[in-house]
Amino acid sequence: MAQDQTKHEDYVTPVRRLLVGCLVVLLLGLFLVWRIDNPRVERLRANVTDAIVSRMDWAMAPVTATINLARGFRSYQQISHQNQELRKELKKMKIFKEAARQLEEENARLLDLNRLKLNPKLTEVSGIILADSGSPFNQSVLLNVGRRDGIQDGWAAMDGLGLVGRIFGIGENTSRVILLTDISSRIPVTIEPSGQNAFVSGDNSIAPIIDFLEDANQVRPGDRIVTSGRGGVLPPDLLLGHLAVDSENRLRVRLSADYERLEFVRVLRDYDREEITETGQLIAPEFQAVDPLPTNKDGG
Amino acid sequence: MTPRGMIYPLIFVFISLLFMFFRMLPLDLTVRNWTAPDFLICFMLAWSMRKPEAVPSILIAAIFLIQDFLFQRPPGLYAALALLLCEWSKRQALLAEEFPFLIEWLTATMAMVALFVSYRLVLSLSLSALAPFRLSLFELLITIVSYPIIVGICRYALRLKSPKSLPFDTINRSRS
Repeated sequence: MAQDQTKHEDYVTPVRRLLVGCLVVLLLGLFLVWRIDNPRVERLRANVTDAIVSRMDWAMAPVTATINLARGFRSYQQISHQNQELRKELKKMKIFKEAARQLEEENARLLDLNRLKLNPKLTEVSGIILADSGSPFNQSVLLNVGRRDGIQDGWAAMDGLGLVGRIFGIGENTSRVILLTDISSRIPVTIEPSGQNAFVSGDNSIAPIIDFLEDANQVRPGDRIVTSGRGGVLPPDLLLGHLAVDSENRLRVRLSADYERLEFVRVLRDYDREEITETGQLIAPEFQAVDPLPTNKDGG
Repeated sequence: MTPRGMIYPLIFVFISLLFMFFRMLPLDLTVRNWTAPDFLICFMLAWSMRKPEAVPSILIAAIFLIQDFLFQRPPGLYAALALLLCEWSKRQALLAEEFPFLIEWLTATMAMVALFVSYRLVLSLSLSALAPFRLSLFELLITIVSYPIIVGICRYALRLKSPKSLPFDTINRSRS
């Protein structure tokens, strides 16, 4: 019993309390710093994540592959059914392909008339998805490309078809993509063909919601939604998905990117982005800097 | 600490890393309206009540801070609260005269509810973004329900018996 007694004292001594108290204060201090100086702590987070995940990399890929393989076996049961569906779809696709070929020819002719060139600055880096955010409250993934590969904050990440998200947080070998479905994701978009501007904001559901639409009467379900490129946040004309209406009559985006089978993403290099280097100017521009009579300067 | 005494903290570190590893695998990237229980908090509470010397507070702080960083949570807050609860449940278990499983489960439940409430309270007071309420509540409930499973694993796979549930002789023998 005597040993038991010493054990009790071990856990209630003031020294011990002091240690625990110090640790708690340190941790809460970190939280406070995060609240005040978010970018710095987020950089620290990116570096910590980078250090840990790039070390677990060798194990993550095979384990993920094995589990996916096991899931694949289960889906083989439905394979004949799937096969028939695919044949039907293929027939439809052939019709579309023909139409597309004709359009392509026409487009080529028109481009030639216009002497138009596609933006050569938009090249891409492909990245493999290493890990997800690990909690159901945040929708983000970790890629195996980082500062080493020249990735910068804010670049767009696409899968084969549509926009997946934006880069937020870069480590040496890894970078994080905030998916469109995340609560903190806001993307300025244009709804084609009416040309209405709006914002697509994630709300932790599979179909992000459409906010700040100019005129809701001019859009209808099925309209294409592309990035508008406003504010220099993302390059323009990247496909997000199509408009849909949910049961509560709110406008949402049915995303084109296939989030269920996301393994690789392409990160678009985009050096033309506006850099935000100082905090104050974004909110309140310097009024003194604006010349009240610009005509004087130009010499009339 | 003796080399023998180091074994349990090392097992604890290993198991926590394993939990984090499996939660981070990119298996399902679509949005879910369900979530797996937070096994790590169950595990931490079970160990701090059953084998307090195996979970030093500095270890708890480090593991939960890493978890905060990896899981995109506000860094430090969850770790600080988890550490406080760990200390609290250690004392509950050590100072109690007897500690049947039902009381242990109740203590763990109280700890988790306190964590849930205080975490959300501090976040909303500091005007930070809050996780969806229903999903968080679901996670809390399923974590409480899964506590006995974790204790079962600890008991039969790791032979981690509550000292108070053992006869007195065995305690002395195992400690000498």
